[in-house]
Parts: sequence; structure tokens; C-alpha cells
Amino acid sequence: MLKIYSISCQRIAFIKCLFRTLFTAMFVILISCSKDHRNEREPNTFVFVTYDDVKDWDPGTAFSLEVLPLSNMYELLLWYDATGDDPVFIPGLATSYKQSPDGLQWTFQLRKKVKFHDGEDFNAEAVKFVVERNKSLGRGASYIWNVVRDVRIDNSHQVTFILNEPAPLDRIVSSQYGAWMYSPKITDIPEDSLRNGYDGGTGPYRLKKWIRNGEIRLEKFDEYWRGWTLQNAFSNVNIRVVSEASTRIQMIKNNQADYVTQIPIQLLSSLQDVKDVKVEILPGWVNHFYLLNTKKYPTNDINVRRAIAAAFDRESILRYVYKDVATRPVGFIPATVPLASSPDSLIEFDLNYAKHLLNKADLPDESPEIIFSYVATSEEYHLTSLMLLDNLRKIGINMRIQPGLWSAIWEKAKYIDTAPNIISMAWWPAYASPSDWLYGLYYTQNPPLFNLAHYSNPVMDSLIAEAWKNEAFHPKNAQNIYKEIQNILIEDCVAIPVADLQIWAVYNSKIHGIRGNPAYNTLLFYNLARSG
Amino acid sequence: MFSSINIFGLKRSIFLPGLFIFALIVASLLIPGLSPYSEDIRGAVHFEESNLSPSFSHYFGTDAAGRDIFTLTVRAALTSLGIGFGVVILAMFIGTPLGLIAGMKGKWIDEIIMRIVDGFLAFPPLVLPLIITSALGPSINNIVIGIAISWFPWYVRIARSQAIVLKNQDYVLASRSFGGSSTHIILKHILPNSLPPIIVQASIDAGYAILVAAGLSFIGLGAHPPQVEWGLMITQARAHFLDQWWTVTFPGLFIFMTVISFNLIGDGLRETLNLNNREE
Repeated sequence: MLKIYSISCQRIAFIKCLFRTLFTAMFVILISCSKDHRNEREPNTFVFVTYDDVKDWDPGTAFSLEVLPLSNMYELLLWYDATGDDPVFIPGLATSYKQSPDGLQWTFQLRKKVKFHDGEDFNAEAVKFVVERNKSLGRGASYIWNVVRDVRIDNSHQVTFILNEPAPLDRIVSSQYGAWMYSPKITDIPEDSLRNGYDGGTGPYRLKKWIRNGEIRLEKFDEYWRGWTLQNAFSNVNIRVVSEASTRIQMIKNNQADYVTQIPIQLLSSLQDVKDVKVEILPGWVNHFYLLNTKKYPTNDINVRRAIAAAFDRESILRYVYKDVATRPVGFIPATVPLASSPDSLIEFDLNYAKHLLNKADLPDESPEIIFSYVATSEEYHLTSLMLLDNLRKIGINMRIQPGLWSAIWEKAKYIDTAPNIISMAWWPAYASPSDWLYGLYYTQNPPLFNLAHYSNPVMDSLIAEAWKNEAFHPKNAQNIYKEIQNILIEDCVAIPVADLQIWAVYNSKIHGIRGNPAYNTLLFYNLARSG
Repeated sequence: MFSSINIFGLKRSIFLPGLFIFALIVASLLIPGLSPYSEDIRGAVHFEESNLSPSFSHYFGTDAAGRDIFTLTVRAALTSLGIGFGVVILAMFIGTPLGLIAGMKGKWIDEIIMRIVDGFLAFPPLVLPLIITSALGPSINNIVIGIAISWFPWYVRIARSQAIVLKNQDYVLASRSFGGSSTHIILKHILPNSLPPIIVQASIDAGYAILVAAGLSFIGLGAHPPQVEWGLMITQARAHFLDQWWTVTFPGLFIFMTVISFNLIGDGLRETLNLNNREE
């Protein structure tokens, strides 16, 4: 009996041992057969990694970070090429155009055999529809069409824009916001579908899938009118939203991304020597500045605003934070924008003067508190906030720092109750004119869209309109008026210009076709290909 | 063997971590007077010295704004330990009386208190502090309130179970028979005898409170400049940590050592107070 028990115990032990061995062997085989998929990429796909997502898919109203996907899905009548010394207009959906001697009528010949992604034909009716719809919506960059009284259909592929007053319409139709041509069938799309991702353009890519705050997938439009002749052009594009800069850096280093944006400038030097990563500085018309709330206590006091401006150490920020990627601003408009002029002077850093101004301010608090809000994904804003915090402390102003995502701080800044006293701002123009900065940021807006300083000055409003009128035929006059406007902005201390930026492109060195056009703050995927 | 060694009457497992916490408090109080970079605590920046690696002039290196990380890390201990102590004191003050009342009174009072407590415990550990702090607004005080409100149920449970056990002890019954009121019995007999497990729980929780507060500061719900706090230091350096390892390593190390210290103190107290009867 004991022997039988002993044998059965041995058998059980043997079977257990056998199972363990088999299990271990299977585990080892499975591990060795599995592949590391982390660095594997979908073939023929361009991966662009950005820091925030699209908020508005309607091409008639989108007016922010949407420019990246939308400029690849939609097209303009003309493109403004500012890469050379003399900017030129390049035909887009219009093949040619002419203007009447008085500048009030502009006739555009439209490209034939162009289809929207929904199968509709692009024609004169579509152009008229887009302009009228955008004007009626009255949101986003719809103001660019204010000067257009009517769009006359001459024939199926010719339209004439009739203007209220002379204006550079070629620059308006080449605007990077509000001028995208889209299918009239948009009116059949329910509001919900528009919010959940919409595409009705003629561009080389169309929307395949959108995962909110995650990923935008674009696929090539086979019937694109230019055709697909570029060797190794990308059939698919993935635009991924990754808010952490360190993760974006890891992705480009590990070949999980082809292009990454918003890398902290201080870290660019560490990427210079990384294999397969290229850092290139391209021309840009983007500038960084801080808007000072003119309606909220205590920055509603002009002396407080001036004191803040005088406590702003622009030189240190430019030297240590923006380094070689930015230049010293000469005014509120980047110096290289056509017709840009500069004010007589900017308020310079002087803490004693700042203290003197603060003493002049009639404040009930001895140490007033101001709120400083900035886009948390930008290291440059973060470091600037620390500099200002330190300097304001020295003159007796307490500053509370409120970083956040752009969409969140933008929404709060629109209403006085929730608005900060200072908000970070980066601006790139809809169209290539100083008036774009001035109209978008300082023209009276109720409710405000980007006039987050809540500034209102009727004199300045009329001067902006006057300058715009002069641009087409009296550019010198326009330039002088832009100078006058900026002097008013300095006098009223509405904003603190910090830096005129160039574009720091960080991308995989095997990608070619990347070319900087300062008029468009985007990347046109159609021109790109991967070598090797 | 290790835990049986006594130094100044305290077990070594309590003494060393206790010494670390004490030294940290003293250092954080003295650092503004001793450090040549004490201005950094008030928010001074020196961009010309940004991202310097550890050296004899900057023991822990400097951050992207050129601030001395050693000075900031040591000073941040005051904030972080303040949060830890604040949370456990507040949670104890809310939880202990409720638990004692529930345990002593029983019946429907016990039911109501315990169901409320269950409601609080139904939330995942980090969610309730996150909601409360978001609603109240980002600040250190609100972090303390947020964490304490979500942690007080544990103190209710401990105090209640102690009260249930103690209320039937002979000395309590004797006090009652002599006409002692409920308040008198709770204050004189139940509360003093319930404290040991509560203190042990508090000493362990203090470390975790620092960890949770650092997490909330990391996502922008806690301290904000010019305040110095370990979680905030890490979040401010997160863009740089791949190239400047020292910017996150030292604050992280201090969080780790402080949490470990509180855990060891808690374990040591449990043994010292014979709560598990290990050495009987």
C-alpha cells in the first residue's frame, strides 16, 4: 500500500515537472517568436506629432491649430509664395485673375475638372457659395470677406468679385484661414457630423478618421487634380496629439515620428547630433507677445500695464530662452511681413521706471495681484513667466501663474470674470498684411475672439480700416498708418512684444520636400517624400 | 534583531527615518539663511546659469531658469511635509470623532455614518482629491482639504472598530456603572486607548499624502510658483529631464526617501505599540 502511494506520488511529481517544463518551453518559444512592433511603422505613412488638437472642422470658421490638417484637405484660389525676396501669387484653384483699374472688380478664371472629395464639381457656384456662407456665419476669419459686396458668376468657371472699396483681393483669397474652398454640400451635413470631423475639400488628402485629442488620419485623394507623380509620396498621414514635449522628443529620436512641433528651443542643440534627426530653422511670420487686459483690475490702470512692460526683461528672454530661433521685435508685427513698419520705440526694461509707474497708479492694494496665463505646452512661455514673476515681485506686484491648454485658457480669457491680466499669444497671419495682426488682435470685438486684451479704441479702429483701404493702391500711406497705430498701442500699452520667431522644424532626415513659406504656418504633406 | 536595537529608547527602525525627517525639517527651516542661492526660494531666476550639471557650486545642479536645485529641494521639504502633516491631522480630526460616535452609539447612528463613509470609499483613491481640488481651485491648502476629505473614512473605520472593542472592556463598564456620561467615557477611556492604531495609520498616511500631493501638483492642481514643492519641481522640469537628469532626480529622490521614512516609522510604531502582538 505504501509502495503504491509512493509510486503515485512520484508520477504526480513527474507530471508536474513535465507540465512546468512544457509551459516554460512554450513561454520561451512565444517570447522569441514575438516581434517588437513599437518601432514598426505603417508603410508609406507620414507621422506628424503636434501638441494640441483640432477644435473646429468647419472650413468656414476654423481659425486656430486647424490650419495643419485643413490646409492639406482644402485649397485656395491662389497661394502666396513668400519664400523669395519678392513674394508672388501662385495659381491654386484659380488659373489666372485680373482687376479693374479702380480695383473694385476682380475676375478669376477657375480651374476645370476639379472635384471635391464628396464627388461634387468645383465651379463658380461653389466659390460664390463659400464667400456668402463664410460672410453669413460671421465667425473665425470671415472678416476677410467684409470688403466683398457681391460675387458674380460670369460662367461656370469664371467669377467676378465686386468690392465695396479697393482692397488687395489677391491677398484675401490666398488667406490661410477663411478662404478655403469647400463643397456646397456642407449644408446637408448635420451639425453633429461637422463637430465630429468633416471633409469637403479639393486638396490632396482627405479625412479618414479622427480620434479626439488622439489622432487625425488623412489618406490621399486619388482624384486629386495635380495627380500623384512624386516618387515615394505619402499615401497616408497620421497627425498625433502628444502634449508632453519630452515624449515628442523621444518619438523623433526613436523614429516613431517624422516631424515634431513645439520642441523647447533650449533643447534643440541636444537634437543636432542625433542620428536621423534634422533640425532646420525656416523663415516664419510668427511672433510671440503678451496681451495685457485693459478692462480687468489692476491692469485696467494704464500705469500698471506700463509698469509690467517696463519690468519685462526682453533681452534676457531672447538671449537665453529663444536663442537663435528668434529676433528682437521692432513692433507688434514681424519685421519681414510686407508693409510692416515699427513704432517709434518699445517700452524698455527698467525696474526703477517700473516702480515709479506703479507708484503713479492709483491702486487700493499695496501689493496688487495679477494673473498670468500661458499655454502650458510651451517651455518658452513657462520660462518667461518665471522671469516676469521675479521682476514683478521686486516692484511689489504679486503674480499668480495659471498655465493651461490653449483651448482652455482662450475660452476663459474671452470673459472678463475669468480672464487673466496677462495672456501669452502666438500669432501667424490669415493673410500677408500688418492689418491681420491689428484687426485680429486690437480691433474692437464684442464678444472678443482674439482681442483678449479687451481693448477698444474707435480712433484705432478707423485707422486700421483706413490702412487696409490704402494697401492696394497707396502702400506707402498704409505703412505710415500702421506705424501710427502701433504708436497708439505702445501709448496705451496693450501688449508686450517679445520675439519675432522663425520656424524650428525638427524632422526625420530621410524626409525631403520640407520648405518654409512664412505666409502659411503649416506643412504641405503633398510635397513630401521619404528617401531610401 | 535589527528592530530590537534601541537608541534613546526608540527602536532603530523608527530612529533612523525619524532622524531623516527631523533633519529635513531643520534643514528646510535653515536653508534660507545658509544657502547663497536663497533668493531662488522667492522666485529669482538666473538664465545665464541654466541647466548646469551638479558641481561643488550647485550640489544638485540648476534648472532651466538657473535656480539652484539643492536649495529648492531642501526648502520644498517644508511645503511637502506641511502637506503630509496637514492631511493626516485634518483627516484624524474629521474621522476619529465620527468613528468613536459610530462605535459607541451603534444602531442607526452607526448605520448613517458608515454608509456615508462607504460612499467616500467607493471612489478610486486619486479621483476624489482630484475632483475636490479642481472644484476648489489649485492651491496647497485645497490639496490638503481634498486629500483629507477623501482619506478621513479610514480613520472613521479604525476609531469605530476600536470603540466597539473597548466599550465592552471592564474598565469602561465600571466607569459607566459609576454614572460616567458617554462624553466622559469617550474622552477619558475610549479615545486614549484608540489612539495607537490611529497614530500608526497617520504616520504611514503622511508619506502617501506627500506622494498624492506631488502627483496633484504635477498635473497643475497644487502648488504654483514661486512656491516650492517637489511635485511642482518635477512638473516644471519634465520637458528637460531627458537631457538634464538632475532636474527631476533629486526632488524625486527626496519624495521617495520621505515616503519610505514615514512607512518605516509607521511599521516601527506598530511594533513598538505591540499592535500585532509580534513580540509577546
